[in-house]
Amino acid sequence: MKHYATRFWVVALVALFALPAAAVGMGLDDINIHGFVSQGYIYTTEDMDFLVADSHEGSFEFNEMALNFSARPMDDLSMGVQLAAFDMGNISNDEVQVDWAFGDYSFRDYLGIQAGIMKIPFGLYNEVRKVDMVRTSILLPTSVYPEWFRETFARIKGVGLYGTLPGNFSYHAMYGDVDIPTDGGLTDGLESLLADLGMNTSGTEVDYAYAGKLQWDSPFGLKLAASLYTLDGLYLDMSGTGYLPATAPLPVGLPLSVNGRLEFEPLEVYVLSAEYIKDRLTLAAEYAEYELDFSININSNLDAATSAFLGIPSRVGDKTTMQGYYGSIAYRVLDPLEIGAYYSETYYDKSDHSGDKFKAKFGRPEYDSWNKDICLSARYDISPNWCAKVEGHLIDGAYLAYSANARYWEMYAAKLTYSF
Amino acid sequence: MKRLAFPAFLLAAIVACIMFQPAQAQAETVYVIANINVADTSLTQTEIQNIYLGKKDKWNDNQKINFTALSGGPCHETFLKQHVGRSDFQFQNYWKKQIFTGQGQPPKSFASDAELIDYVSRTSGAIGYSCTQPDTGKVKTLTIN
Repeated sequence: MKHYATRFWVVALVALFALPAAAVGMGLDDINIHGFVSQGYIYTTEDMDFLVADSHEGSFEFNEMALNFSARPMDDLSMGVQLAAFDMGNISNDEVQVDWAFGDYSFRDYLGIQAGIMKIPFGLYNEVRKVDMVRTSILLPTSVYPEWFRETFARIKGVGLYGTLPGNFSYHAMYGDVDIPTDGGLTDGLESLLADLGMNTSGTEVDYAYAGKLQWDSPFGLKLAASLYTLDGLYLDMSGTGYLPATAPLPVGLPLSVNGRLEFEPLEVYVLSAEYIKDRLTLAAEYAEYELDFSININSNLDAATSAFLGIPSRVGDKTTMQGYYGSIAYRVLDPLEIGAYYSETYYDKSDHSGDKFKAKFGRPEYDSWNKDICLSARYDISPNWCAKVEGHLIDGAYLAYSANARYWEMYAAKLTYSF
Repeated sequence: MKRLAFPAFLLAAIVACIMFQPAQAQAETVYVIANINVADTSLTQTEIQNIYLGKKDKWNDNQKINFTALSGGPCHETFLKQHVGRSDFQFQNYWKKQIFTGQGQPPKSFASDAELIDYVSRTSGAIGYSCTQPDTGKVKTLTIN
């Protein structure tokens, strides 16, 4: 993550000095500056931990912030940069990152080109996961926006094309590279899956990534969209060291060192989305499938016979289609007050809604393979700049939770945001 | 006790919905205006919606569109409802999404019709709206099909 910290200073200097200088004839008044800070609180019942490692004790390690600068030096050319940070328990810890930084040249309404670091257009809300004040709920439905994948789905460094075609179809496509942090949600989640081996991620690599979204906007408030996102050649270098406990027939603990390269071939996701906006009402529904095919060949300092005797696997992995869908409703009751609700279902394997295969494969309870979430949210806009939210979740299942010791549990969250 | 928390939360939300009723925006006649040098004389409903959602930023002769809005009030709300299909809150929300993803900047906003009309009359490629009949010597009124 050091390279992100270095980039922060470089880009901050560029934003403050080079942008206006490059924009010949522009003054500081021509630079748009916006930002926000969100501070949240999360609490889960039944000793369950979700998103934040100690959420069952209540946690303030649940915040986001961003600051952006943008300018339009020519009619058809715009450029900008956003620095952002978030904290979600063990993930990110408020480390500043370049959230996006790109130039945009618009040739015609039907064709524009972007180059740099861009947010990935995926579903209705992926680009604004961090931006709490643009939605009713605090947490997006896990079924389509699992926080495990938050940083993996955040941004592409490369080039993009966009435009609006006849019939009011708009498209956005991009191709490039993705930085997967070694201490992000994806690595954290995979390390927890391999917890028995004490694995940590030392490096990540992606061959290439591409994303595309096609959207139709009707004149009567209905929006339909289809999105695709693929990470090809995603590798995680993992290793772990420790001691095997001294149990018969071994009189002393054996030092154990394991390492391997976890490989996704590939990680592929698509989402179908629908949103309807009418006066004070917003309805939305999305369906997503995550194609996950991952495996790791494990090498250890023990010979093959000893490893086999001690039950250390030579290869771990799985191939599954994770499935998720939700429906949501939000209604602005008063000018400053909005109430919203959603129902979301997530399954580790779309062909195993009962969890029977999951139990047989991993030896864990069936309910660890799903997450069924009823969420109710209230949002109050104190002023155009201040927004406060509270929400409650009634959850069946422990999929994507840290500790799976209860099937039925609740989650409560509150958040206060300032934006300008 | 913990099991009662969610039902209590749900009940409080339902009570809030029943107690409060939203005020309705009054209907007004909205004139869509443009700078006198804009070649276009009319727009479709979809085109004006796309302009205010930042998806159309060029006139038919490829001149850059400078779009403007009122900062609030009944005329602004009526325009948004009739031509953009959104409430003021939804409109602001939409533009916050664009701002924080780097996809665009919201319209330049003005506190009064007079200020907006004055800006449109002085700015090449500008478009705006007003609920007072505009002076056709200063700006042109566009037909919405």
